[in-house]
Amino acid sequence: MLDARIVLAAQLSVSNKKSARHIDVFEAVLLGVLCSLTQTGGTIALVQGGLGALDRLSSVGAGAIGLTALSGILAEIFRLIGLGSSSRGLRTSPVARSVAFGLGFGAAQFLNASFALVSVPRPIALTLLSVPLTVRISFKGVMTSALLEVGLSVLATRALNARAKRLLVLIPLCHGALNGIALRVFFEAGFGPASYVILVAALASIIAALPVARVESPTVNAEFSPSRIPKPSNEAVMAREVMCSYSVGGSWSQRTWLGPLNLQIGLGESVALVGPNGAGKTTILRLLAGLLPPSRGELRVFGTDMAGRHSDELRKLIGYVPDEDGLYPKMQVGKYLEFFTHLYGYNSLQEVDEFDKLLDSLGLKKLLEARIDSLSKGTRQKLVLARALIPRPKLLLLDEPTTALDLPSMLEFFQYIARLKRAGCAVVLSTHDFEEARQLADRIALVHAGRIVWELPPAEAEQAISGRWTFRLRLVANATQAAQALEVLQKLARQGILEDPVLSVSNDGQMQELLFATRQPITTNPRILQAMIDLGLEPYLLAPVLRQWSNEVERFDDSGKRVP
Amino acid sequence: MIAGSEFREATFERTRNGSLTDGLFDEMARIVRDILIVVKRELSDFSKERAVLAADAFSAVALPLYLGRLAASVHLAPARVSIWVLMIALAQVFIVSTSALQALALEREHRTLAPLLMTPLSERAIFLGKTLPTVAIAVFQGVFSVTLFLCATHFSAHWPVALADWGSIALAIALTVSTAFQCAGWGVVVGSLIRSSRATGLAVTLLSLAFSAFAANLGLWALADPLGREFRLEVILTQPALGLGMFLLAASMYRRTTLLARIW
Repeated sequence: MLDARIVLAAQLSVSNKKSARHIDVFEAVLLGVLCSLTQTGGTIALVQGGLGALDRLSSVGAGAIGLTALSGILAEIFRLIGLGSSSRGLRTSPVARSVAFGLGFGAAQFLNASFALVSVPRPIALTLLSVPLTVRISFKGVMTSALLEVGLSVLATRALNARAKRLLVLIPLCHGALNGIALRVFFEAGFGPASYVILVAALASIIAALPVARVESPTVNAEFSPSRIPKPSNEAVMAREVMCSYSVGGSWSQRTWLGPLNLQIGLGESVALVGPNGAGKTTILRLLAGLLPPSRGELRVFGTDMAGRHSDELRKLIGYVPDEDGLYPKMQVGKYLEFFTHLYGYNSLQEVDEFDKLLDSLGLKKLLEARIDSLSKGTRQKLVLARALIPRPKLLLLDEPTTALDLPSMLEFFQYIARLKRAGCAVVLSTHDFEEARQLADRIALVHAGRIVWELPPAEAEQAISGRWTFRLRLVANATQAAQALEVLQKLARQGILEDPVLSVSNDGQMQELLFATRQPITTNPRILQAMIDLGLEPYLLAPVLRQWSNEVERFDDSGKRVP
Repeated sequence: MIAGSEFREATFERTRNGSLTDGLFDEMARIVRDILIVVKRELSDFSKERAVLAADAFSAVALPLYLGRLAASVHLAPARVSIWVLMIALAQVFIVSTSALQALALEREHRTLAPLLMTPLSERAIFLGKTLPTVAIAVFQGVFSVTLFLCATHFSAHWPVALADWGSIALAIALTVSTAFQCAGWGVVVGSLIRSSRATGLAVTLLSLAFSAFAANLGLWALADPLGREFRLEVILTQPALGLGMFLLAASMYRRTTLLARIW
């Protein structure tokens, strides 16, 4: 109950004196009415009012006083109808009870302040709070109420500024003592239902405190300051020395660090994150999506600090295609998309701009009736992409978006991303495919050991990477000619120009395919083609299969510094 | 974005002007709308689990009918019927409420939580949207089973339902509601810590055992003083507090960062 009062008081005392006065008047009227109604409720209300007189800050807690007094009234009613048996009271003297309650509540309030100051995580505080509940209120509500106040305090004071928190150190002690006196009066009639009424009142005050805590005052509540509202900005992402600690495989004991991360992305820009498995590309995307909070440093997305709680509005600006699809397998495609359009505040799919066109281009329009678990992997990926595009995002985060797409879909996808970029959408994607990165990104960032070791335009990135390319060479040739071609490649391999040449596929005796790896395609590939033509073969396709980052990454140590 | 920003700016303005509650109703309407969207999806998912539905329906019908006939055959005193009523109602609640745990654990296993948490949906709406259908089904099933049990008892033994039993029925309904909230809360608390479906199965079994012991405990109370004031007061006053407390604890654990930290 203390919390609602303090939050409300702190909010009002800082932001609005006029309202505080109104509540004072309301409180006075309430006190008068309660005093005339019932002796018990009135006594409690008077004691609380006395505290209010001592400290103006707590005098505005009319709601809390009302609740306490209401519990007094209910206690009286219970006692009158014979439910509150006096035989169940403590068998100690009133003085001992008074002292015990005073000390107990004083300690509880002191704990309130301590917990609030060190910001104990909410689950821990609430677990503490739940202990007496689970043992069926063994000490008949007293400890429950005390622990409830601890929990409440943590809930509410996390929203307060430093000045209000300092006050919390002093207020609880005198408040606790007065609470003790009030309880001594309260429990004179015995320990019956009254203690449970306190409990219910305390729980009700949690509910009462929640909307108060949600009110976003710019002066009191740093967590909900206006800077947390996404504002028009040319900067989509700004990360400065960001570090993030996250658990490995969900284990609390195994934690790993990402960063320090420095990244700046403007509207309409695109960045591709490339690097080996486990480098931290997906974790960076999760950070930008707000799914992982940064532990240190400054991370702003559309000007919103991602360290704390960010607004619902911000989430509408971010579209995220995760590495795992996260689809509901039993739903129909149409129902699934409709579900997400509703979550983003639209009434139907038709309300989303050009969504019909998007579904058509992704080939999903004819599959609206199909169940998700009947879809192929590529189609599921398209569905995930469509889901991410529902809110018309201004920042699109793509985690290996084309791994399961066929070629026409991939080309369509590239065009769509280009259109989004022209419309001012910032794009961050992670990929292993250098070609994809070159097609989609304005800058390519190499990620290694949780850091971006360099960030370059595609042309410069290509020069910077000395990694190994794997190429596919297709020829019009019979088996004998293919063997001759392979021999040429093996000769080049022996000279150290190529690596791992292999005749991979023999189709129908006319088309042959060779795979080989090279570190210098610019010089070796023309030589290979010339050698094939000299053999009388007709190479009709030479295409990169995979770009491997291992060599480039080996140039950097775990601290992101270039190894000499 | 613009509409949202304007709304929040307006909220600041109202805060400065002192009308703290203005705009809260819009916010509440939005939360209710979000909850209903999630509830609709959950119910649609539940309705597709035909095997579970069939098993649920069987336990809701067969158990009370069998026990009803048994109670009649052993000429159970009407006052003792209250124990059976309680046990049947609570058994149904336990069965259904553990599905809150499964719903959360499956959400984790299918990795469907991250897309949901990327939407503007609040954690509160997701939590209530996922647990309220479970609670509603549990309460409905509990009340239905009790009614069936009383009908079976009545038609087998030709007893008029005594006035005292109406008290027991009211108690059973009150207990069913509060216990459903409590079980859903337990389900979410345990479910938020579990990662695999195998562990989920084990947790469901252990929780069911714990709940059964709890039900047996209530039964003993009833045997001591089936319709006594002491029993009623104790149960009526502690159960809602336990139910609400557990539910609030579960809600507080259902936070974006906590849930997502355990996913990866």
